[in-house]
Amino acid sequence: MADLVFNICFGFYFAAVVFYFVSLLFARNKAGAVSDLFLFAAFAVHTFLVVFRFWQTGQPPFVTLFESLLFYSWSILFAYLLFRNRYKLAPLSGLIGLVTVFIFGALSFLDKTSQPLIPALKSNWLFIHVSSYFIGYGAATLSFLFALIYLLNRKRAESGFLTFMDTISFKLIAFSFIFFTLGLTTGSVWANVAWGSWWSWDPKETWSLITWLVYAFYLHLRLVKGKKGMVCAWINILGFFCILFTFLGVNYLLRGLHSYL
Amino acid sequence: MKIKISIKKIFLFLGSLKTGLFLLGLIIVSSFVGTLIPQGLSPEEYVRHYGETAYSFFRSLGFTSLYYSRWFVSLLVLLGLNLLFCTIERISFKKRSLVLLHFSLILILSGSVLTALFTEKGYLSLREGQTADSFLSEKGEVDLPFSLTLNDFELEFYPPADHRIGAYCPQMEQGVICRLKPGESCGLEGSPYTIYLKEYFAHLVMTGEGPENRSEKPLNPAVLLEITRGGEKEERWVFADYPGMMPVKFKDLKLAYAWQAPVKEYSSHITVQKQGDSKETVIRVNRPFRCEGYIVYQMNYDQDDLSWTGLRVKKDPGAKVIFVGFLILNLSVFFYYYKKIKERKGDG
Repeated sequence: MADLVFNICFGFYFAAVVFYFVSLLFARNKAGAVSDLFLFAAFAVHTFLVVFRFWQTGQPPFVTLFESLLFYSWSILFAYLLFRNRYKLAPLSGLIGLVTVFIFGALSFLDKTSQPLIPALKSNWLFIHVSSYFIGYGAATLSFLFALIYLLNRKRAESGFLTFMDTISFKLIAFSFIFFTLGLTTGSVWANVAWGSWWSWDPKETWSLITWLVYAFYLHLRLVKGKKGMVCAWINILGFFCILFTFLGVNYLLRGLHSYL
Repeated sequence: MKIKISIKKIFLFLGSLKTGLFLLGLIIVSSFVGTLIPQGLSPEEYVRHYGETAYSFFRSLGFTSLYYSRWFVSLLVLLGLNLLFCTIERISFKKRSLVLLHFSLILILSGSVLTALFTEKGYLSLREGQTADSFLSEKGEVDLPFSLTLNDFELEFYPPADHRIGAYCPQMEQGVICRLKPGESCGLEGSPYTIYLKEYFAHLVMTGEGPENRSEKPLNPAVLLEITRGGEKEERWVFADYPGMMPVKFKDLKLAYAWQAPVKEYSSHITVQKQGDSKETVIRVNRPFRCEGYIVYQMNYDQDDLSWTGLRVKKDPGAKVIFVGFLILNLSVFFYYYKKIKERKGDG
């Protein structure tokens, strides 16, 4: 059943992207509305998939790469929908849908079997620590996309559009920073309970601190120094690469206490 | 007068945003370098991986234990001073979230100094029936205000995801391994045999009425295989712990069973004695035992002798300060940035 629901969700996201581009190319408002409808339906099914996985395995759905990416893509959509109305992000729904379609494409190649929790992960801290990080990752990914749009359109687009991209990027980083702080500190408290040390300079810990510091650097430059635009966009991109490395790179390239995802 | 001005200048320089950002940048780059070079290896391992010259270079710069090197700790201290001076300079009720945010970071850094200076930590290995009232730390033996007796060490497994059956018969060029779940079968390539996994018993006991699964603990794991060759059949129990049992029918077919399952839990059942009082407790991973400021953690065990347990003992006066710092940090980050997100104008 989970496979069928997964395919339905994938199909809905794909349909949302198709209708979005139809509306864009042929200037059809109705197609845009249908695209939105598919996107909302896909997010509802996506939420069901995550909750169902939680219920089915009896453990937070962040243990395997499949589960982590499923929740990560959910977090991107969650951040988008949270900011969509307030910051009028509806015209960007196709881009978000496209990113999710790519992640779902990768997910369809991954092993979907669940794995039991090893003793070190059996803790209530797992849920709060990992979900905080993923919610932060989701918003930071969106922010990265907007920074990328900013940089790619810097010479062509009108200044109003660029200011909007720059501002929304900042707001999303401020949002992520709240969750990165929660994730980093709860991880430290958990490490103290599980390993007997609240900080061990383990590669994953160190990289999560590097990510936090890069975003702290960004926020200081922006809020105290008053820097905006290109400098901030580049640091934003650097921050996103730090996230990617913390999330995936460390597990495959460096050894440490976090020898699981 | 001149001295006063210079102190003020130093104060302003140390507390400036430029210095803060410069220090942040240096800490980011140094932390990155520390993850590229493996930390805390033996000199021989460094020489083997990087060669003698590179090792001498790493050692001279403190890169082999970067996060504890004098220069890295100095960077952290300078960042702490930067935070302190800039917070003092900007202190105001209007900026309370921001002041609290920086104060919490100072608190966390102060807590880490307490941890670095006053933590007592070490290991304690106990055999079943053994009692200990001290542990071995880096500085020597440390007496505990209580004693611990290991009553029992328990290792639990999840049920195996599948069962690995090794098979060989003279017609085959080499042996094969089949991974089977109950109800699944596998044809042995190059031989006339097919094996079918009929049943799995974790704790097989032979009784007068036949084999019985006494418990789900893997005390005597065995699989019941149905072997077919043409129209002929044989049922054979294959034991993980007793390989080489004589087959009844298909004598040329040798089968072996390798039992493997992920560890679910490991725990130490302990009796704690303190000033005449006695208390039973179970220490698990993620569930340490706390007493008189000491925390006892379940760390590891001896795979070859399950009557031993490996515990870690720690007393860290900095941890509480750090956790209070974490709480204030989260609250202040939330209130400060929530306001920034809500503000209508661009950057608040």
